[in-house]
Amino acid sequence: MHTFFLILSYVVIAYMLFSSLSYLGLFFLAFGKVKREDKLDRRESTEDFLRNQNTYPVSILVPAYNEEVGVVSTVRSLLALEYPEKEVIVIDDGSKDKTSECMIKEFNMTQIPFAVRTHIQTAQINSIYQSSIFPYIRLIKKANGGKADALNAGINLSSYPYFCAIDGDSILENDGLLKTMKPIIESDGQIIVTGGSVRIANGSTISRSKVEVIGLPKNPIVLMQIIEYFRAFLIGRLALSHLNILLIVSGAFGVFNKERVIQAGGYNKNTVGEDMELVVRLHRLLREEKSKQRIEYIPDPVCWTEAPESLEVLRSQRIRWQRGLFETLWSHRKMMLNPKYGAIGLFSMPYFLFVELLGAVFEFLGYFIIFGGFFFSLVDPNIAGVLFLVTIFYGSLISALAVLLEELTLHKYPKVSHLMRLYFWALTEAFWYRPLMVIWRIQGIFAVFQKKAHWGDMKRKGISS
Amino acid sequence: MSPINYKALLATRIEQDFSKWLGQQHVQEREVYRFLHTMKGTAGTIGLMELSEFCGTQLEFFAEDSTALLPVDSLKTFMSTLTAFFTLENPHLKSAVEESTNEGYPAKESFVLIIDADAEFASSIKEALEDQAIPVVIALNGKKGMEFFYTLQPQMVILDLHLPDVDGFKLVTRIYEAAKSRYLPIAMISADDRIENRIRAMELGATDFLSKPLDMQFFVPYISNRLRNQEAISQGTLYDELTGAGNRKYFNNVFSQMTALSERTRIPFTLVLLDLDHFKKVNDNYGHPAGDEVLQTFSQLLLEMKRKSDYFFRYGGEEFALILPDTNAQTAIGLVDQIRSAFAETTFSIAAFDPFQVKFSAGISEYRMKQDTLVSTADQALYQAKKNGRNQTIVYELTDSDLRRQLTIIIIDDDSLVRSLVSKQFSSWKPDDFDIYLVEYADGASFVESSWYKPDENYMILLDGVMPKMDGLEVLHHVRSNYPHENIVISMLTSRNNESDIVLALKSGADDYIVKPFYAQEIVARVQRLTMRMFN
Amino acid sequence: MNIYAFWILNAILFLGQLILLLFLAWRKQKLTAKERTITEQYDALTDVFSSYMMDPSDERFIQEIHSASHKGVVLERLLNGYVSVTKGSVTSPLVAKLSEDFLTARYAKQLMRKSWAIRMNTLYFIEDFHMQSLTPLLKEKLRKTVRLDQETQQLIRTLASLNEPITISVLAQYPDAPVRLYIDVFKRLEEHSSLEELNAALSEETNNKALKHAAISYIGMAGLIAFLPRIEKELQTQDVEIRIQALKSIFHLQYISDPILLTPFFQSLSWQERMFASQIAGRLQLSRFKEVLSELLGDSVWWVRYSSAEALTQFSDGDILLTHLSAYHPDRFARDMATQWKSSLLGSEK
Repeated sequence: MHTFFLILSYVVIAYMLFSSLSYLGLFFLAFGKVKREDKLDRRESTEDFLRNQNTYPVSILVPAYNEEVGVVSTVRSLLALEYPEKEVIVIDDGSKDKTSECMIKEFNMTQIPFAVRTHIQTAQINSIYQSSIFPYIRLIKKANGGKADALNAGINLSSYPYFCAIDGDSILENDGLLKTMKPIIESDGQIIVTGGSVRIANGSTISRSKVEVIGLPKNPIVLMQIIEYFRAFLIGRLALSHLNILLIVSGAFGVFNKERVIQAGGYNKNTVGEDMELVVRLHRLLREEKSKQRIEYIPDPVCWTEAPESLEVLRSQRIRWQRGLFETLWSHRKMMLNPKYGAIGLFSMPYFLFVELLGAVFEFLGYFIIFGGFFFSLVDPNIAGVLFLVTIFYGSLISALAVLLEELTLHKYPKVSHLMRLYFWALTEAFWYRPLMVIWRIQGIFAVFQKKAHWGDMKRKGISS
Repeated sequence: MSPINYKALLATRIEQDFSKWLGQQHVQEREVYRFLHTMKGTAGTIGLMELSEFCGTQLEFFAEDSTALLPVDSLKTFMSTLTAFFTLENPHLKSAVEESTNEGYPAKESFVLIIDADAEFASSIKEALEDQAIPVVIALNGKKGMEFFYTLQPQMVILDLHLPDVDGFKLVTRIYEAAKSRYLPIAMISADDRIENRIRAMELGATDFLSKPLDMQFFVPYISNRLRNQEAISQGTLYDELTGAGNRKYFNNVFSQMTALSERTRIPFTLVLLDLDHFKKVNDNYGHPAGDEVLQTFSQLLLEMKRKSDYFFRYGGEEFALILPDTNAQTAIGLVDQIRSAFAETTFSIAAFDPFQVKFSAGISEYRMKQDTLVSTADQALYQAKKNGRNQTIVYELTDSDLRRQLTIIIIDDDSLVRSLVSKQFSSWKPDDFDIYLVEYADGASFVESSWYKPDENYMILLDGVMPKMDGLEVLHHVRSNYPHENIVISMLTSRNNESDIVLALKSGADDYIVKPFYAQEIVARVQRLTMRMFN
Repeated sequence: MNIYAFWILNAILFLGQLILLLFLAWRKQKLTAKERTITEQYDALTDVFSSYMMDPSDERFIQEIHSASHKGVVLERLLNGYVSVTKGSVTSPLVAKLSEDFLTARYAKQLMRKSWAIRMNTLYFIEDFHMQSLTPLLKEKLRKTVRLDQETQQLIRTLASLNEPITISVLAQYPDAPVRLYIDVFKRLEEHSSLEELNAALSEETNNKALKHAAISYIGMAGLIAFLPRIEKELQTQDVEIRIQALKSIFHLQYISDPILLTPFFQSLSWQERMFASQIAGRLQLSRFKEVLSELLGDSVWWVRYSSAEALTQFSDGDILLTHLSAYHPDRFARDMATQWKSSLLGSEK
């Protein structure tokens, strides 16, 4: 028995060291690009596109389910977007609250007859409205069918070659779309998806859809999520994008080539991780076609979203994410370690399986052994001690490093005190936040085998004042 | 939609074409050819093979390029054969053809305005047309042309592309809207008949483009054709059926044109509102036919007595309006008095009743500033006339409160440099007759929340289209729905080079827009022009 | 495995991080202070700057900018704001004077900097301020480049905005130069040079397909109707892509000298050609093609069906045709497409 736990300890230690190192390795891959563009004048580098006739028009899809609090401010922030040609389509997925009513009232919308092309089958579309103030704002009222189904309906109604999906509770910065489209335009369409970085809005002052002062929230749960975002976006996604093996474009913000998405069959209704699943499917399509097209992630444009403040909501969110990840990896298991899918199959898929999905299992075992080692002499306390240190290294120090790296590259938070607070909270991660996440993520794996997918039931209080 | 509906659509389309033809007396041969050609194709594609074949055979009788005029009568057989293809589905079509052929339009005196710097040429046209009893007025430059266009109400405008003071195209652009509302054809003429010019003329709204030298043989019938057409259309849509006076729609058109002209040229005009006294009693006592007769007689008298350049309208019920171009209130009183004494001599006799007379009251107001005010001041004067015991004329007197001597220029832009650049430009503008105040706001929300408005002052708002917090269009909506229109002029500063946004801004009540990047000096010039109407 | 090794590892990492943290905090403090000063100076100078730009005899601005500690950055921001909101500033002697007086030396130095972002920004600003004096330096820099990376692309754009037609021949040395970049150059050159270059690009002896492609599409974009005969000639070429571009250009020019030229494209094997031919027929209302458009409504490619239906709506009797076709076209997809456009016509009228 002792031997078993000993071996297990070694496995966990090896695992943690290995993934820490791969984090660091990935970061250094991405560092150069982020650092290089740090001082670039954002305005100058995009202003040419603003006047360019070749800038592709974009349809902005806003799926909304019970979003009466946030949907209007989201749409308002979309109006202020600097982009030559755009349309905004809000899809009310059979909300039980006043989502549609709010939209209709705020933007003076009237019902219009409109022939919807059915590229992708969706639940019944009840009616379509158009704003009489801003004719490029439309609203689809449809029967409930889930977020993926809502997005598919939006794709059907959209009239432009690119679409971007943005959650009903998010706010996009003025030049966010232009900056996100930049790689697509510059590559003459060779890039078919770009994902933009998402920031947590809690704590910042947002007035009428404009982020006025960037700040930090008081709630430690939200603070920790901010640190988590740093870790995931700066370290994970950027490097993977660099290698063209990016698997996730955040559900909160991404621009897609519509034709390609339709070709891939649109969003999958049977998973809670529809955004990731679609990206994987697109990757698969590209590899199977041996296409040179790519999927890219850019660190810069900022989309702000509201992070859950209560443990309960956070828990259900994490369970949902974990489920989505599992479902995606499962339905595309054929790609796993399959050389036919290149780096995606050989590197990306295993990375997500072992680091993102099963990481929780290893970490759980780690905590279990440390606890057992110290109190029930399950293993040599020395080994438990090593494991403890490795856990701190993996959990706290890497996160703290992520905070420093953010400051080194993007430095979005304006004050020195912000930096200090983030750093010291990051150090506490291994002692309370990480264990919580580990437990929920394991629950998430189990949840896969339970019931069917649905919208997250997060309680919104609205991020705009 | 039922599957055979397209046939009905086609029938309606044909009906429209035919009634247009019937409205004139001649149809150009090539127009018939084109009609048949289109019809052949359309009918063929929608499966009406017989009709298509019929059109095919008919095509052989017409030449594609001939501009010869065919009398409509000669086409009747062919027209009725054509409509017969539809009679089963659309029985009323045929009767429509017959009805409208019987309807003749009264020949009203109409005249043509020629704007051409070449006096010799213009007078040769005048001679040719006046031989055919078509009066012609000549303007030798654009400025005079504009003035005549508004004050003399021609039925057609012929203008040369090259004028000494203004580009012919510009002139077309300026008169196009007004011309459109009167169904007035505009023909451009020029020796420079390059295709670009022709295209441009068409794009700007000219009806025809003729190259110089003119083929006089064709020119005269062409002019009468256009005049007939204009008359037919405007008779149907601009005149009151019962009285022959202009209708309310026509009134609105003329009124806004006169206002615009007066603003540009400062030539005064006067509005007279006339109301028959105790008209309700006429109807009650003698019956509606008698009432109608009174209205008709009164209108007839007015139409005879008014000067050629005056406009006469039935404003509604028993209320009539006169618009007197280039006329002040004093002159208007004289005219109304003449009418009053003439009408006093008119006696109405209805069988079984004693003969009776009708009187009217009149309110007069001379144009000063705004449309709303003019109509309402004339109306106030009319009310005063009624209150004073009817059968009299009252002129609205200006009071001091009508003169406003302050202009507040509000600049709303989130870019401090823009605000500074623009306000610096205004610092050099020091008008004689009023004062300028400059106010800046960094965003729409703080403007809307502030208490910027005082009812008796005039405002010019320069509004940035894209702003954080509150979009310029929203601010625009807010101002237009919460404050009066006439003392607030709004111009959007927009960096959106998107046409639809500009259209949206204008539709939502912006008076003007300035596209960023702009010439700083241009802004002041525009503001001066836009605010002029408030201080005239 | 020694536990102390791990202690030391963690401790070193932690200490290292602390040092980094302190450094970053210090840097942040400094940067914030600097940014604040710049903003203060910018705000303070906005007003006199505006006065100076309106009336250069008001020299307060010149005096004050001399005493500003961050005069380079502040002036750069002011000028950048000025050129982005005012028209004609490209040729403004004041912008030229201020930028040449205060920024030439600074930019010459910055162009040699190691930081890629700073070099890029500098190129953008030189373009915005039209700083002729730096032309020789930029040309020298261009001569030394070997790769068509982002920086070289911007360098070419900047030089083009200074009206250097040499940029076209430099671009031509890179076989993979994107069409977009050629178009960017045409757009920036002054009219005289760009017409000349377009002329050369369309001439027989050019083998540069991207250049030709760019020239054709730029002509359409800029509405240079004088080139119509040349574009129409390109309709006869063997190269499908060039033909497609020529069709697209004609579509934008909204003019064709003889509609017969379009006829072969309705039967083309390339769906793009069928699509553009349909679009042109609609845009120019060439009613002789009504029947072929009705046929193309049943095309195998969705875009062609879509465009031909859209084209039919342009005709005065389009509603009638579509109503008929939606009921009687032999092809099911064609009927669907006709129905959709028929209702879109109804929709737009309401």
